[in-house]
Amino acid sequence: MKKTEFITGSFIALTLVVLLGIFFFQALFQPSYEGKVMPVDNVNLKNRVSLHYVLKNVNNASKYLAMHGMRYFNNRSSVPSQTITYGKSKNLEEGSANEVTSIVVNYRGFDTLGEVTVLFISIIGITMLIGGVVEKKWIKPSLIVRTGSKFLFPFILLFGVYIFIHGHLTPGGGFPGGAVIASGFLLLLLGLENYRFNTKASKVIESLAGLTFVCIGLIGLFTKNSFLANFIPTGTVGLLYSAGMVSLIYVVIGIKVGAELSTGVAELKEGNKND
Amino acid sequence: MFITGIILITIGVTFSTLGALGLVRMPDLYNRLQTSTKATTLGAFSTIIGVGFLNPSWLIKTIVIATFILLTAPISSHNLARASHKWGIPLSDKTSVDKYDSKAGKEE
Amino acid sequence: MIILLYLAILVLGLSALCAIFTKDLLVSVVALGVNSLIVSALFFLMHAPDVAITEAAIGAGLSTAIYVFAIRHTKRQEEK
Repeated sequence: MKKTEFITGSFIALTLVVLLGIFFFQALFQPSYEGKVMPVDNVNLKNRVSLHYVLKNVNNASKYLAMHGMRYFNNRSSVPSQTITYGKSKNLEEGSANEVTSIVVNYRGFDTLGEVTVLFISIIGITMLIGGVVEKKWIKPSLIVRTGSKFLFPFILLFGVYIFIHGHLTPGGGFPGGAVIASGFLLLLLGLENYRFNTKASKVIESLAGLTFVCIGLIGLFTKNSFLANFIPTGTVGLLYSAGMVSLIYVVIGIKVGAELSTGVAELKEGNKND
Repeated sequence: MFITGIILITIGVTFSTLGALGLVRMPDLYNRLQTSTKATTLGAFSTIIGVGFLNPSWLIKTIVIATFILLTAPISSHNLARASHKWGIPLSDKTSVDKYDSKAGKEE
Repeated sequence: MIILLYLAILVLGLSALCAIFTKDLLVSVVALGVNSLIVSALFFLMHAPDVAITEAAIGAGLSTAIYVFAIRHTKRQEEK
């Protein structure tokens, strides 16, 4: 009874996968027409970020839409007259060179607050479910692994911090930086046999980071009449102290995500014996 | 600069190909692990350094990445071999000596 | 370039099928990690480096470890 159900279910799944594959391959074989595929050859890779930055600048783009209509977005070669150069332009609407960051943190900052809250709730769920699990025995790690993990841990931490501090300049940001920090703590948990992760301290750090995020939003609400509005002056595009609120919020998000994910991994590894 | 980069990339590609060949030809897990570690350390290392020589503005970053690979790949390979030995994966028939089984197993 | 994309999509489908149909859950988790890694490489080839970094760190690194810890607390073989 169960076996026939399994076979029919897998057959249906396989046919669905084949149909989806045919669908995707059909889309790949179609000739590309103008306006949908980005012209890669014309873009100089060094100016790529500042070229796209113009499209992101909302006030200019809406002005152009009123003047030229939708033709502006279809034809990439007609970039607006106000060119923005890397390292020279000042006092823009929003000063981050990486346009994904400015959308995630500035224009859709409230959604990011919701995402961080979802992660927090899932970690709380792991902590509640895993309580009372008995710790199993591990094989003792050898000398090479112990020395290597002790030596590599500071560099992995440094790389995570680099990713979220430079989030508004280079690809990356708070979430990848936090995940890299958590993988460093995972290396330490697996490589050293008598390492205990300090769960209480990480919970305190995580709560403080979340509080700071909400406080930055409230300062924006009181000064600019909008929650999470940018209240710090945006400097020159491409410098480290440039994007105003974006870099500040990404540091907070990086610390919060790193503490959350490493708490979850540590509780999954050693069980919850304290409470 | 250009010729050095081409030579380094050629060395890396050769070692990666030999590693893939050894993955097919070798009899048991430990020998396969040895050849694939050679491929990841020397192959990836010299390919990345060669890319840095081809484009000299990336050279510092590529040296950092290559150093990281050089540090991590042997450790992970060692740990894989040790864990599979403790798990009890059999050696091939042609193996004549197994020093880890008799000596270091009792020590820890 | 386009051949690379086809190869990546082929390996992606194979690893996904392996993750579904195998009985050993540890093999399934490793296949899922391979799947994540190829997805992150595809993201990078399609000019989305932000998503690629996130996928490589969370999908291939952390979630594999979390699944392995969950398998340690339960059984390794799938029941019929």
